[in-house]
Amino acid sequence: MAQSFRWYFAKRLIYVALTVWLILTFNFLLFRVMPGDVTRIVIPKGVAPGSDTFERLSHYYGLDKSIPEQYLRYMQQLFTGHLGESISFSPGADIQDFLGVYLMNTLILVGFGTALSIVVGIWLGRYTAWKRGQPADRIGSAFFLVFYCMPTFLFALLMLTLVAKVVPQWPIAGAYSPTYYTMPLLDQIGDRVVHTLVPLFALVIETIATFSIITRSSLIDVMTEEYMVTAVAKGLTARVVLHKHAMPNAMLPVVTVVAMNVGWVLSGSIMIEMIFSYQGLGYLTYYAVTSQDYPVLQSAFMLEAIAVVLANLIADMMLLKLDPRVRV
Amino acid sequence: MWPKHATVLGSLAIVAILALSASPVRWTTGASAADESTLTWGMIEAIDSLNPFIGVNDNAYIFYGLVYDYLIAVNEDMGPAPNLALSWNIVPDAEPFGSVWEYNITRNATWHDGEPMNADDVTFTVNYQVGTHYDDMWAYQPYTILIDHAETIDEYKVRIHFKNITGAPAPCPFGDKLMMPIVPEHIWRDVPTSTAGFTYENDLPIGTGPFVCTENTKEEFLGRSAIVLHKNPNYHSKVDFNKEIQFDRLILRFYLEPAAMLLDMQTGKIDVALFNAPNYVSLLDYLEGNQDAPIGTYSGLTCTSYSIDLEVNQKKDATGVNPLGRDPAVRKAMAYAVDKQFIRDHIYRGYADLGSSIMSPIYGDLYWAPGPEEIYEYDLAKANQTLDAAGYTWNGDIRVASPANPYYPGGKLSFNLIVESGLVEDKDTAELLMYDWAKIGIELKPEYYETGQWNDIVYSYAYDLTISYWSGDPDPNYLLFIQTSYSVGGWSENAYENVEYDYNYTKSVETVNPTERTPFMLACQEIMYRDAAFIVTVYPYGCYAWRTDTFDGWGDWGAHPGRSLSNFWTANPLYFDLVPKGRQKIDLTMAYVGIGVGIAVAVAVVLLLRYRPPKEEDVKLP
Repeated sequence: MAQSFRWYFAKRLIYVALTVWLILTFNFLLFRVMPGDVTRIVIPKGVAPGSDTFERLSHYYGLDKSIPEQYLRYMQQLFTGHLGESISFSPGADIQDFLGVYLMNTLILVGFGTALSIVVGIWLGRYTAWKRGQPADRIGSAFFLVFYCMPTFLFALLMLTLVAKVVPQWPIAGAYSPTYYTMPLLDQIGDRVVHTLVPLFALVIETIATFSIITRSSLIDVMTEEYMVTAVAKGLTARVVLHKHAMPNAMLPVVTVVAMNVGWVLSGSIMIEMIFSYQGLGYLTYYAVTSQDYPVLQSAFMLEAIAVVLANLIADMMLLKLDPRVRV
Repeated sequence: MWPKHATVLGSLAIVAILALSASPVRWTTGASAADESTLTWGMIEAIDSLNPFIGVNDNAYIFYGLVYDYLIAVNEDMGPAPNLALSWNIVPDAEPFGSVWEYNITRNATWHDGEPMNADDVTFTVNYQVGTHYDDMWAYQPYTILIDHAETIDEYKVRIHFKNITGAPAPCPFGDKLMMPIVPEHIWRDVPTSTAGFTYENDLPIGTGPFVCTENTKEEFLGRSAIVLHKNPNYHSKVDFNKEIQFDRLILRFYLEPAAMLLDMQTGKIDVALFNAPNYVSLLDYLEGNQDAPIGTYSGLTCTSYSIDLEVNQKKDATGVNPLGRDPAVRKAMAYAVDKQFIRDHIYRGYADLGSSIMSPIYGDLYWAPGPEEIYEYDLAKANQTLDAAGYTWNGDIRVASPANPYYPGGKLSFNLIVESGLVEDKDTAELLMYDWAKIGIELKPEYYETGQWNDIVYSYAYDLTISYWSGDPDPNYLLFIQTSYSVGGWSENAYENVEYDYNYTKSVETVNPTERTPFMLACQEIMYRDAAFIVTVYPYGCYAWRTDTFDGWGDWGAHPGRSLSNFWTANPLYFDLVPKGRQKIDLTMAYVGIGVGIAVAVAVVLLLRYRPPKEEDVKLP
């Protein structure tokens, strides 16, 4: 018997909550079992291990408590919106004070990038599938394959060099200008647009190719189904056949791939952020890994994991809309 | 009808926003606003703290030197130059002679928040870091370990009392080269040292230095993109030395990867930068093909005596560490098996000098160079002979110690080598050493770690060998200190202990007369080299580039190393000589219009396709 939408949604929410809890717990444990002494990282040199200073710092970071006590403190802090203090990225700074800056940069880049990739990628995939065998399909497919196979960093470096040569004054580094904080709001928006365009293009070109290839093959697959023949036999127009019969079914694997891709895009953007000196979550994660700033790393991982879980929830809801059978 | 209208309205809104974004507003996209002269300095690594008692990377020290003053600065020839202290002298009647230095402080310095600066601030800064605060305030320990206390004599006169390692009053030869920033008492007195040295953020650094932070500094620091500093209009150098900085702003522009910085130098978005050797070579290649490009370059030894060091762990009670690294014969064999010439020519592309001790030739007469008898020339045969003579015999592909070996009877010559994974040159050196040392029966196992983990392992002495780097201050005390037994457990990375070295170091920091002091410093270097606990491979060059179309007055950095960017000890003479030439305004209006029109056309095409009259076509199913 089919479940009601509300019941299905509530069940999914419970799963999401459980998944997030497991992620947070794993996040906590992961950095406790990794080698290294946080105190030594705080004091790179100058203080002997075992000294009063070492003990005091261990106490300050709560590292002198048992693992269960640390876990309770960690969860308590999370639910009160306190993500902890940075150890080496910005010693002593509350992580929530600066995490937003990096999250915003990444959301602008990856958020717009993903949206653009979905719209353009699906449209191109649909178009080439509909025109299969024709020159548009052949040329389009060749382009998709090239960009799908090309490593992100290589294309980013090419873009960097190309823009510097063709439009030397165009900014190729940073998420905004050095004077960003003193600009009026409109100028800030414009400054963001200008700084984001090149890395955005470098980021989306591969994801557009991915989504196009998936959409194209899925649509071609759907078009072999018998109900498509029935639709045509009923005398429906090409547009109706495409939009009402073919696309909804072809979108099922596409939605799944898009949801899975959110995680990939977040991690894949690290390369783009490094090459374009674009200070986003990818850069923050990279820095936290290299400098062993575990609280920052925990927070970044948490955000990225929650983003993936939420993307999957949205995908589930979309699949439900596209194919009501999934609620059975 | 409603959905169709909504789509059209939405599309029109998007077009309007795009058109708005294409309007020629006053965006500047890189170096500066048109009406202010700005020096933009490209850096590969963002500063790691606004707190001068916490930051450790080179760029952090550069930042502190811009915002804070020191008692004494460094002139273009690396000599002491007056800064907050206009004059200084040894107090003649204090015993022993040289143990108390007196400084006459300027009356013209004010803190950036408008508070007057006086001798009490200097006294506070010194006393804040010594005595019971010594452990917490670890950042300037090579100096503070030898300071007993400071006292205010009058509003503009301070005395600093020096001591030796045992705590007894002792002469100090570097009273005119005390390189530590002076901080305001009215801000820092409320910050306990237990947080000042570890977690205090110092959101708005207030100094007396040539550049001033803004209310955006914290956000800029946390954003890691750039920090904008303004010229200090009340800087005391104008009255004290008749010198003034001639540009309005200094932007520290941080890059995550050198390719973008290199391109920004070529396109004029930054004015000056320090490159690593591979990118410097790329820049020189570019300049060869673009000889009219307005870019000046210089490469040479850095004024901070930058060196790359292969360190052998000497810690006696360390667990999991091969004790054979403490055998001088093993270390000497290792030293003979390091092909420094290859490292310089191929790994550093020729942009380095061959290394000997931790002090580079930039120290002039204070630099010790090994003679023909002492030098460890690359010679694998000699390395093998040294190990043979010390009783190490071959056992398959690896040598083992004799049963009578005092360090590790019967132990294998097998060592791990801890390398920072982000340092390409160090990784290449590790591979070379692994290959070469296998020929003398030493098994080397490189292990690559991220910087944080490397710090953790090295300062816990949980390694056999590592590749590290050091930079120092103008007085050799700073670099010589780190090889003393007094720094073991703290600054020392290899736990080297040598009574003869300690004796010479102690004498070198207690001998005021420069002529009498020099032999002790040379002896320290000779002992360090001879013992090979610290095998210095190369002194990498500082590879700098600057724009000649935006600023004049760069000068000759080879003849005057104190003018280079690496002189971070406040009030670098270069800042006062740079004259802005006027910058071509960056105008991207046409590009904005092009983008706006392009996107608007794209949206229009999509709308057209969406709402074009229905055209029936045959459905082609596979």
